Amino acid sequence: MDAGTRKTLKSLARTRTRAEMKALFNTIRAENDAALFAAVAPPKKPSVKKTDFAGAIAARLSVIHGPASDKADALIGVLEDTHGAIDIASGGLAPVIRKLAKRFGEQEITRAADLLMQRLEAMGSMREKVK
Amino acid sequence: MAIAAYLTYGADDSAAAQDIARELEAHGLPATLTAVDRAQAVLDARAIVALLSPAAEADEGVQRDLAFALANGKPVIPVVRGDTGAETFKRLLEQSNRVDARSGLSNPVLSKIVENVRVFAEAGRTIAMLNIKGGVGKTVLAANVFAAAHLELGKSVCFVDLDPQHNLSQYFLPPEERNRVRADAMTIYSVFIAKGPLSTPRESFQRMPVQLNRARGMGKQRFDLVVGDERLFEFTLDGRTERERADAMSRFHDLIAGLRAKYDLVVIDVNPCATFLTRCAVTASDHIVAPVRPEKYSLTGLNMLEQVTREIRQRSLKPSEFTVLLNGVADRPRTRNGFDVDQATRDEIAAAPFFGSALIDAAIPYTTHLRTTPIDKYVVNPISLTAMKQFAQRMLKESLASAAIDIIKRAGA
Repeated sequence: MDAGTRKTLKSLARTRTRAEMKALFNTIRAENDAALFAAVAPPKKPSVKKTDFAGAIAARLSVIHGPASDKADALIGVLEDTHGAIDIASGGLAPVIRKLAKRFGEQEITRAADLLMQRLEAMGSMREKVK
Repeated sequence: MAIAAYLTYGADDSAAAQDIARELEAHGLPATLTAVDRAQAVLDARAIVALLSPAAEADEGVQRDLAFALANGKPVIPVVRGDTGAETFKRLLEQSNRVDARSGLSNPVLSKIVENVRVFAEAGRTIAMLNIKGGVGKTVLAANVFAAAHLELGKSVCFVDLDPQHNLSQYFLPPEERNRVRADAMTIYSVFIAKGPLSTPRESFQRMPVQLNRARGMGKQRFDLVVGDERLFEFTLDGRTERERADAMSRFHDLIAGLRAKYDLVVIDVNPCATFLTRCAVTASDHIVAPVRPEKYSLTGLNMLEQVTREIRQRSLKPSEFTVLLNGVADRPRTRNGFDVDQATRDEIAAAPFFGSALIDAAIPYTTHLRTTPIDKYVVNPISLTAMKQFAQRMLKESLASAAIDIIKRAGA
């Protein structure tokens, strides 16, 4: 047994009785590596459930062709019609939705997305028709 | 600075012409008063100042200058010195940039002439996308090459869809939006119609372009389109009278003159084959871009293009007035019957006496990104339909940008 292992065992035995150590050795012999590693792993942080509001709005706007930044611009444009100039830089759709939601609330953003879609539906899609 | 204006006038107006030339020179706008080779003087100037009077009406030289200017895309600034009834002058008198100098050359009148000349001296260039053969990629290349000019080089661009098939308008705008523009009488058809409810007044021409880059914070760099209209076919048949056609051409030139003053580049997408619409486009353009596919029929279209343009412009042409752009070349040699098809086309054009020096190095690769696959989606920013705004191949974007650079350089923009 090497010096490092002996040092580890000594540190384990420092506050434990002989019976406790024997029980520990038995457990180690009985369990496989995965179970032992899982037992000593630091506790997992509980996963913070991301609000998928931005995802829901992005899904609503997925029928729009083009890069996400164009959709974000269009959404800001709708809000600017009622709120005046909005000082939010253009960027990806989800980050822009999160910034807008902080300022205007989710309900307002949902309304803006609906209004944008209504306007686009009135303008029609790129689908060509035959008479 | 290049010659800003060439003055054409009758004998009785020579003193007035000298006053105008002096005023232009004083404002840093070089002007030509007399020339041995009048046709060359017209070609060298950015605009023609025409002093319209009974003396000019009787002067054959003035009539020739004006006809030559109108055939060669030179904007004319009519300065009315006296009442005339000549048919040629009549349409010039309807132009929105005319200057009334019947009560003499007062300072405000001279200032207006200087202002109008300056507009054209500093104006953008007009480029026609033209090949007599169809299916060579005029429309798709117009959209994509000039999107590169706009996005990569910061040029302001206005397209004019002069093809009755209006594919360029279809490329960028959904059917309902096009119908709305049509219902407002703001398509190119309403420029060609001089009278009635379908006509747009000349004063409204500059409100016709529809914005194609709707990104926030666009600033002054616009990317716009004068929407096409299938009813233009009326001007390709023989249903319209000579007078209606003359009115249409005069109004079209007025539209282009106004657009040149606002944009770095005015790009006219023209229908294939030679019709009255081709005449309108060629007479309004400084430069012609002819896309060519590596196919044997493309070369016939190119040869016809030179003949048609020469016929319209009434003079021999220079290769520097054209750019030949190879479209749809493969990214690796396409060998058939022992030779590389793309290279054979390039070699053939490069060796040609006329078009040889018009062929640019940049070539557009064959790619699915330039195919116009139907989509059933909504568009908030039409420029996003171009390859420059998509996750397209880097090689394609670089080719489009380098074609744009070459064309702009050759067109003198």
